[in-house]
Amino acid sequence: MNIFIVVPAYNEGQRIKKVVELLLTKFSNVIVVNDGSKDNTGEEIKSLPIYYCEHAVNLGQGAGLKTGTELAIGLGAEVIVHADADGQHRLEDIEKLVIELEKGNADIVIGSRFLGVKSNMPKRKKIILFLAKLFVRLFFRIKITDPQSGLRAFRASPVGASAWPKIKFTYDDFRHCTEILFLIKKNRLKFVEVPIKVNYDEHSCNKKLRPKIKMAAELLLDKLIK
Amino acid sequence: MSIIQLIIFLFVLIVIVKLIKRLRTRDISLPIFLLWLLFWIGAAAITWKTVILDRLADLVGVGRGADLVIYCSLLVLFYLIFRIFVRLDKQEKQISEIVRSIAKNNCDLAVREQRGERRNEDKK
Repeated sequence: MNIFIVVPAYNEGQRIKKVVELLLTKFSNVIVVNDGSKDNTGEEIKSLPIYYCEHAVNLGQGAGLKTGTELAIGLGAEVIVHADADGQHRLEDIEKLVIELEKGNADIVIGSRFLGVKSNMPKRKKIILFLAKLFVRLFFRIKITDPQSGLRAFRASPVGASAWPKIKFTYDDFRHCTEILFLIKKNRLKFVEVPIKVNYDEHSCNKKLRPKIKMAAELLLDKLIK
Repeated sequence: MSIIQLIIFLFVLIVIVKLIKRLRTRDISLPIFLLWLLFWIGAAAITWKTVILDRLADLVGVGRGADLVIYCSLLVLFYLIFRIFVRLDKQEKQISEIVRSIAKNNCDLAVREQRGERRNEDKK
């Protein structure tokens, strides 16, 4: 199976090389979308045997994933995995997602940080993710344990049933996570959650938290209008 | 004539001169020019004869002419903010599409060069 790993990266110069090298030990097709980084992210990985793509300006994680996914489809991908560039996602979890997808029980497999596997997730993050879960359940009527998970795998085969046209999101920022869930529900796609463990270190803890009140308000407004 | 009236007239005059310059350089179309010209002449007329404004206010049920100006200004400003917001959103999406498209094309080219497809095509 032709598996492509899509990794959007923004200012990840310190760790991107390590992350990509690790991915290359198991997967031969890795697409890195440098989303207008201001550091040396591009230089760090340009020599690696990957598909490298660069946004001239920073558009957001969603845009990076969209560009990478469309490229992967153009290159004949059958399975596409979205992963983070900061090394939070473990290689064995990515493999678990692919195996689950290959079973054929779901159109999309999503990694969940809240399915039994313990991690060193900061409390602040736990609270915000709980609120995000509540938000998705209340307003979008979607039951999912980790609505903000960045690790997901889906079929993109041009021959078989491809999930991509049905989950092709429009948001360029972190709202794409919620939009994908909304599209899964709208198009009645089957999704399965797989337990994953995320490595949290100082760098990832200091990053801006994904769900913001402004984003939630805009999502709600969009839902009302659409 | 009061000082404020004088200031407003002067301002309107400057705006109309600028409008004419914009029309000459074709930065704005004739209908847009006429629309703004009418607006600013109207503003000057109201400033000159404040009675017009008071009569208008009476007609629509607002106490004072000045209040009518404030209400109308607020409405117009809110509408303009909405228009700007929509346009910004549209432009943001367009920029995103352009940036993504350039990135994909560049990557495609690099992949084709690596595979030597480009050289083969050049030979043909």
